[in-house]
Amino acid sequence: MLSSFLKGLGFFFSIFVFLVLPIILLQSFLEKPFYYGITNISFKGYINILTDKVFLVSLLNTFIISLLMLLAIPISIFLSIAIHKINIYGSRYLEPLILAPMFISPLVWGFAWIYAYGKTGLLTNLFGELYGIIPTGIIAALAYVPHAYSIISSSILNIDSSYEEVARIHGASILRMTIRILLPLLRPAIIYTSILLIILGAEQFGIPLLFLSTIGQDTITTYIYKLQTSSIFPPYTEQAVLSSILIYITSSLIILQRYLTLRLSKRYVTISSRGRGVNIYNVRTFHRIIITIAVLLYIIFVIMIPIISIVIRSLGGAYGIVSFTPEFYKIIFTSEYHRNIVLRTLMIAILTATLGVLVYTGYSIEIARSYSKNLSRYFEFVATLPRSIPSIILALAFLWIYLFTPLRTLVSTPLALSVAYITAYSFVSTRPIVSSLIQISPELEEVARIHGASRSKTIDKIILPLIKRSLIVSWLILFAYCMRDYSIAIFISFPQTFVIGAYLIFAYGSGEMGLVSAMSSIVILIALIISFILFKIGWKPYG
Amino acid sequence: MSLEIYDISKKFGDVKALDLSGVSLKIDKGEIFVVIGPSGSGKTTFLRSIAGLETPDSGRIILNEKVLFDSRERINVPPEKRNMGFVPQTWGLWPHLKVFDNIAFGLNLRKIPKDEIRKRVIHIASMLRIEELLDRYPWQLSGGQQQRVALARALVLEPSLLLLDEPISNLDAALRDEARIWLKNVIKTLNITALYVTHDIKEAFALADRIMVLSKGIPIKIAKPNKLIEEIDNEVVASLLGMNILKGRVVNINNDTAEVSLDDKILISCRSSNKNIKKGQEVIVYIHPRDIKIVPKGFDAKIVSTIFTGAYYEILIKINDISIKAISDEPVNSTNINIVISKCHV
Repeated sequence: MLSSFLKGLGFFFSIFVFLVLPIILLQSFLEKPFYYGITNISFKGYINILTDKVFLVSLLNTFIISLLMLLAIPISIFLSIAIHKINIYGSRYLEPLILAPMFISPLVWGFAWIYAYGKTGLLTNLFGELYGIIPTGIIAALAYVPHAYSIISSSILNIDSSYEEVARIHGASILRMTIRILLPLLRPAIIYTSILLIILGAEQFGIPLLFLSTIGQDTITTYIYKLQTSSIFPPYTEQAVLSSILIYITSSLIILQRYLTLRLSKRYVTISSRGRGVNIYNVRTFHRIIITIAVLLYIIFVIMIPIISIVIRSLGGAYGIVSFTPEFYKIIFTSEYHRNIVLRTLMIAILTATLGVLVYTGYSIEIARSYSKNLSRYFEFVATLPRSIPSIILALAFLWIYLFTPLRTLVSTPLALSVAYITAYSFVSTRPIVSSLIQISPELEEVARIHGASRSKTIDKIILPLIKRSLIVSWLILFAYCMRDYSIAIFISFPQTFVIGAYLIFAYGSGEMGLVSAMSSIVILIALIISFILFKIGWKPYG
Repeated sequence: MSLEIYDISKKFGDVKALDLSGVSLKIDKGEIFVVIGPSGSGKTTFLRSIAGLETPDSGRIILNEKVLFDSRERINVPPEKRNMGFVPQTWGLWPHLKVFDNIAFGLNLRKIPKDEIRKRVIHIASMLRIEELLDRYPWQLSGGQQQRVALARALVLEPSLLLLDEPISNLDAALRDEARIWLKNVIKTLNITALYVTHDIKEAFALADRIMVLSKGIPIKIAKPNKLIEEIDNEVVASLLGMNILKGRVVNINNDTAEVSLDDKILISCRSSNKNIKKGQEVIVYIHPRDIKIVPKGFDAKIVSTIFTGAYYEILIKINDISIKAISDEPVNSTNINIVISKCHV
């Protein structure tokens, strides 16, 4: 039966989730690499790191980037109100543009900014120097506006319109109502998103690698990477200590996020109204024009110009010289080395998405439909735990697993990367399946059961056909995440798993800027196509 | 004179949501004017148009001699400048503000001195018996308490017009009965003009000085509650009142009484407010279940089913091919009975 197979697959993959954390935490207390056995347990690694000046600066940098990530909050609030409440001109067409960068990796996003506003960019140094801690934080914040926008939008769309109507009738102007009623009502979403952004800031790897490491500074993540590349035998203990510290930070933040969200959700619960839809503010035409222009400026400068710049660069244009040539694309598609990287990336993404959807369906059925509460909790834990492990650390753990355990046989297959991806991305791709399962009325299953179908048969014949659309959504999201990845790929880069993400970092390091821009353009195109398909099938990143 | 409404209409796309063209409506100071109709009848659009939350396509709205909306003069006063109070169906208590701040919200916007605000909030809170709740958040209140706070928040503004959109429909049945009486007392004590929207006929009768019945955006009837019952000449009104709606033929007319034959066998005398009906004409007959008495003599009728509602018995009776619903305080045991119709309308 399909459902039993999925459950078994789910169980099998959940093992990996439980391998990752112990291996990192254990290593942080060992003086020698863990494959020598559990001997010499000590705090030496922690003492070394905590007294290391580079670490302290990296920690401070990580903290500053995390704080600067909060810039995404006011921008997202403004965009969400403009799109959903003020209904600016062309909002139907502008919203997909705001969300479009969602599936573009921060690394490619960083390249795009360099090509747009860097020293040799299309609009050279328009916003000043791009390198340094402040620009790094701002660029990272802008990269995550689509994520923050989705959460804030979801909250705005779910606010009972009577809150705003009563305020208006009782004497509040649109501006006052926005400040005194709407914004406080968004508090749970703002707090949730702020903590998420701080976590994402702490996990940032690609953007600090481009804009900070270049000038000799580090964050915790780039410091871990630097240690990895510094010698043939990297200092495992120090790497594990750094990873553990990052895990302590992100997991405490996730616990705080859960606690605050639960506390606030109790307070902010309301009786739902008759579903009149979203309350659109009747603002003056002049104000609507001004706000439309502001949104357009954001889209042009933050999204369009960087993307256009990278495409122009990939066609040979630079320094204001327009001499378009498909040279870089020709290299990519004619040289076997480059062509294989693209084909391998696509193949691994397809393999991961297909296998991943099967695994996540197994997780989701148990989360939403299990008769055993403990089983349901187990799979929920398995699906959400990787959220607290930054992907670079997860990659490091998998690298050690592949190098020093019997699982090393996987290294010669694309599965090495697929298994890491499936473990890392469970929280993004399980969500659409679980939420559509929850929406299916239990009566549909109960009728099938009473009319003679077994539990497995009910899942195969009733449930799975009903969630077909969300399975497709989950597949596409996972595919997009695999295509955009670089932080896992850079650690697990064996001949059979060398993909675009890892290639981009190496090629950038060796100064092959033309090829980097062409490869990035290909990735951007794929990301935009996936976004387009997702929008076309009615998916929105918010409920 | 308090509220005057002339010819207002509103379309959503091609669908007419509200059409009061040719209707001029005047609601007096202190009057409770109830708008009733089935769902989708346009009652909420009507209320939102008065509030300024929807802009009507045409018409004129005047409150205390101040023009709030005039499509020809292009006047459209925004909602916050109309001096109204509003109690929505979900009460809309802002969860981030304590009860005191919820009630004081409108007063703060009007820049009233802090001492005066405190005095007014406490006064209205004690009047509505919620003074001990002022320091709590909305989520710490019961449904009945939330409803009182929502009303206090509207009343503290001393509004020229109080808008109520099914404000007690979220209460359970027992509280709802109590809330009807209580709400009417408060509004009448403060002599506030109120526009009340509901789909519940019981609520409408309990509260209204006048009732407007809306159907598909068109006002079918505007009348005092007793008149509405006495002069039933419309299917929408009859169905809102839970009446039997039957087909018949006029056999004889005598002043305002018409003798009507149902199914060509049963003859009944009905009150008729329509002067134009003629002998032999096909008509619709409305009979309230309460006006049907089950007696030993009369027609040859059969009981099809009996349902005990807790307060009375609902009895479905079949006479030839006609089904009629009756209400009785006593259970009826025999299946073959006779009925007498004491009152009906044509």
